[in-house]
Amino acid sequence: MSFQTGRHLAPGTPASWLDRLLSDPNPIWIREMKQSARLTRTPFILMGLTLMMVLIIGTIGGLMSESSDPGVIGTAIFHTFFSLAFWVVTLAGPAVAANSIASEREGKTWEALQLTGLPPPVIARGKFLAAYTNIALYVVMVAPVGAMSFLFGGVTALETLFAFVWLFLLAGLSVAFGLAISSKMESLRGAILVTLFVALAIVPNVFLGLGVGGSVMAHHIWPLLPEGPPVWLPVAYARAPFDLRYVGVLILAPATAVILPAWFLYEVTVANLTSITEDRSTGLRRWFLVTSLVLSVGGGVVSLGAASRDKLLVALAALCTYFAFLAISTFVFQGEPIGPSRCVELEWERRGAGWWARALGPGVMPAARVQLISGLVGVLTLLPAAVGGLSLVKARSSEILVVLLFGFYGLCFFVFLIGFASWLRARTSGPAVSRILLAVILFLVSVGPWVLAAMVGAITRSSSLQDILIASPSPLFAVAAVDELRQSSSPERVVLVASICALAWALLGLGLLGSASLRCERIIREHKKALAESDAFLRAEDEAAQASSP
Amino acid sequence: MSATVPAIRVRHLWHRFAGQDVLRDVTFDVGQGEIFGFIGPNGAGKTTTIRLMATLLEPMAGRIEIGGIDVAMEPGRVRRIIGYMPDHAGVYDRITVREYLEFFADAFRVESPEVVDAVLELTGLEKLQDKLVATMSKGIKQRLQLARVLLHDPKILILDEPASDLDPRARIEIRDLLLELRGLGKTIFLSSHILTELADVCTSVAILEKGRIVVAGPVGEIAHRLSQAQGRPLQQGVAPALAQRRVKLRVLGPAENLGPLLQGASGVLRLEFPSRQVAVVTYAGDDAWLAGMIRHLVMSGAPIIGVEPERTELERIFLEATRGDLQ
Repeated sequence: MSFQTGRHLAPGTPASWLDRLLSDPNPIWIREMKQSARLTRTPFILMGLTLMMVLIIGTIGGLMSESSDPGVIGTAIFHTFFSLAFWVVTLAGPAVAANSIASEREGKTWEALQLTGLPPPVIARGKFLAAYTNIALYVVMVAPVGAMSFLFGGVTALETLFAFVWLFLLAGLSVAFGLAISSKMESLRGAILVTLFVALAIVPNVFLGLGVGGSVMAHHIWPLLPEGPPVWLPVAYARAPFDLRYVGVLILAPATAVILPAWFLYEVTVANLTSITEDRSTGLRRWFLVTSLVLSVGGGVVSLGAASRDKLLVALAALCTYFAFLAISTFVFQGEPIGPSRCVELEWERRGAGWWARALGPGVMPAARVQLISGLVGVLTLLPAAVGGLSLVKARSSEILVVLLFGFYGLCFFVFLIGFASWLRARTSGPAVSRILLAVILFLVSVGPWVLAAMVGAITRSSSLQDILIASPSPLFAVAAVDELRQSSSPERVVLVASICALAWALLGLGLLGSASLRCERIIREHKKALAESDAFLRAEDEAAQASSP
Repeated sequence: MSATVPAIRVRHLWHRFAGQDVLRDVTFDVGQGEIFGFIGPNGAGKTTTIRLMATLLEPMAGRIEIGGIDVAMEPGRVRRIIGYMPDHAGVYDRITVREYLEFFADAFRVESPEVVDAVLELTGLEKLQDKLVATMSKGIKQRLQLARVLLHDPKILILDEPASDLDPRARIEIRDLLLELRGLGKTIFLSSHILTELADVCTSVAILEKGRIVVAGPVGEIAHRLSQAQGRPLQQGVAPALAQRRVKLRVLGPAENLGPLLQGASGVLRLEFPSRQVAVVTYAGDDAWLAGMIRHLVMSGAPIIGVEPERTELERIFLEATRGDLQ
């Protein structure tokens, strides 16, 4: 039953989804909607936004009507409206969501909410629904202005509909992003500032990269699509011929680009809302495994299916994307505790959890093992696909060597990164310090050898291969080696030096991993021993009290 | 919950913040149906102990059992049987009293449809149910917080400084409400540094100073122990009892007339006359001695119209048991 909606569903009564929704809605969503309804400034903000949109679109339409035909005006209105809406949604969405959890903490209502026993996923979903409803209200309010474009021509009603669907999807992603940041922050102002700052750094890149840049790629694939306008995806849905490429580029790739980040942001929010003694790891670990699988298999398929002239570039891009994902995940898993708490172990015992559940559970070493195995499987999926793709088009052996060396160096450096991250986490009291140290060392290792190589080059006043080889310990050397291998007629030296460096990184990583494992085992053993001693002491005290009582 | 199991058991609890021990071997039991006062100066570690009990922090060492359940092992089960009201808790803006309680009833997954009305009636908030929470006074907000923690019918209430910042009327109302809740069978754990707030309601107390329990147990029993402990150290190496008490006597007519009746009497240490009709007697003795002195005065024809201990029993216990160092 729901007190807030006043609906009660008798047990066993057949009910529609609407009845179920009304009789058991998310309590946080309903409460926040009631609060929002009493916010007097909302209608004025909505009215102001709509007026602004009407004025902008009206001005553009008015100016263009002098010299352009209606089709051109319609297209211009379409791109202007949805570009503006994109900016509003992606900047306002995170800010609205950032307000939600941080305001509970700052307003000192968080503990009361936490102690109700509502599970963190329910709280996260309630907060998401509340913020999303607010943003959706903005979109709905300005929708009639956007819908004007297809009346002029140039774009169809279906294209406008697709554009709105994407606007709502992006709004969801933006809200999830704001919520993830808000879930970590104590202060409301801090949450809004950080969220806006990060959003301002990301949004222009997404707009230019996936919008304008994406339209160039889309035009390359389907020449009937215009090159340059940012809102190309809804147009492509309606105009591109439906085939395998349509499914891959317009359905699977965008769906992956929305679902995987949204899932990640949801798991981060839930983990941040979960008490440190409970299981905050399993959800993120599942996300990691699925994303690793999707990126490696997807990258492999794309490498195999790419056009002959793009095969090397696509293979390297797929490997780069996968290694970037692995590196980011290393930072994510720095939040792991040394081992599972007693509370989690009790829950495992109750559930009869098997090795798989325990492997996905809290702990520095289980996280490292999952990352290592998954990374190895991922690279071993990607590399054969990339090499196979190149072999199919009878690529030069140097190109195959480039891919193999790149993958090998990346994998070895990833082993080092995991080992070093685990070693750091096992020695620091909290994740913040180990994350900062990891970032600093990663930066120094990547840039340091290049600075050294530049200094040697400046002293010797040369830019020979010898000087570049000084930078071989940097993981960025793998990128530089690509050019070197493609151009050089005798790449043996580069391959040899790069392989030695890669192996050295891998061995160092394995050594650090072993050390981290020993330290974690010792800490867990000592902790368990202390708990056992404490239990024995309390038991003895109980027995003594029982014996002395009449 | 078995009748023999204490409602709350805190055993050898240690906790550290920023390299400092804020709790040091804290141990006490709270019996079922008691109103337990947790007393200590600001910074003594009361709120930390309470947050540990409410599952909001994990103990670094020691154990807390609420209703026989270990809070570190099963925080979820503990949350279902406690009602925790934090110090200076916030409320939601732009929501009415009734909507506020309905939200928490939904969050607690309360099944009985009459609960919100019953809690509104119990806490005397029915007439205010349609008012916005933001417009309420501190006293009403505190009452609303109490109503919130009652929604899921918890057996144990943990209240951190429930009457702080309240005016005298609101304090009295909260006190009466606590007594009513005790009558309903709830165990109430109450922290405060205002002794008068606890004096009339608590059946047992624990005094915390610098993260250590100085003394714990039923109020009468502690008073007795203190009077027995003259010259001997109390628990855990704390200062001995002073065993000096002061009582204010109001008389009809000049108070100086009591002088000849009390001067030189055994146990009387000092006699003062702060006003014409009031005499303050400093004495060394227990309640039986005091009763004997009053009887002696009345039998001697002294027109006594009032006898007031200068401090409540709890204030006296607190002063005698603590050192009063800055925390």
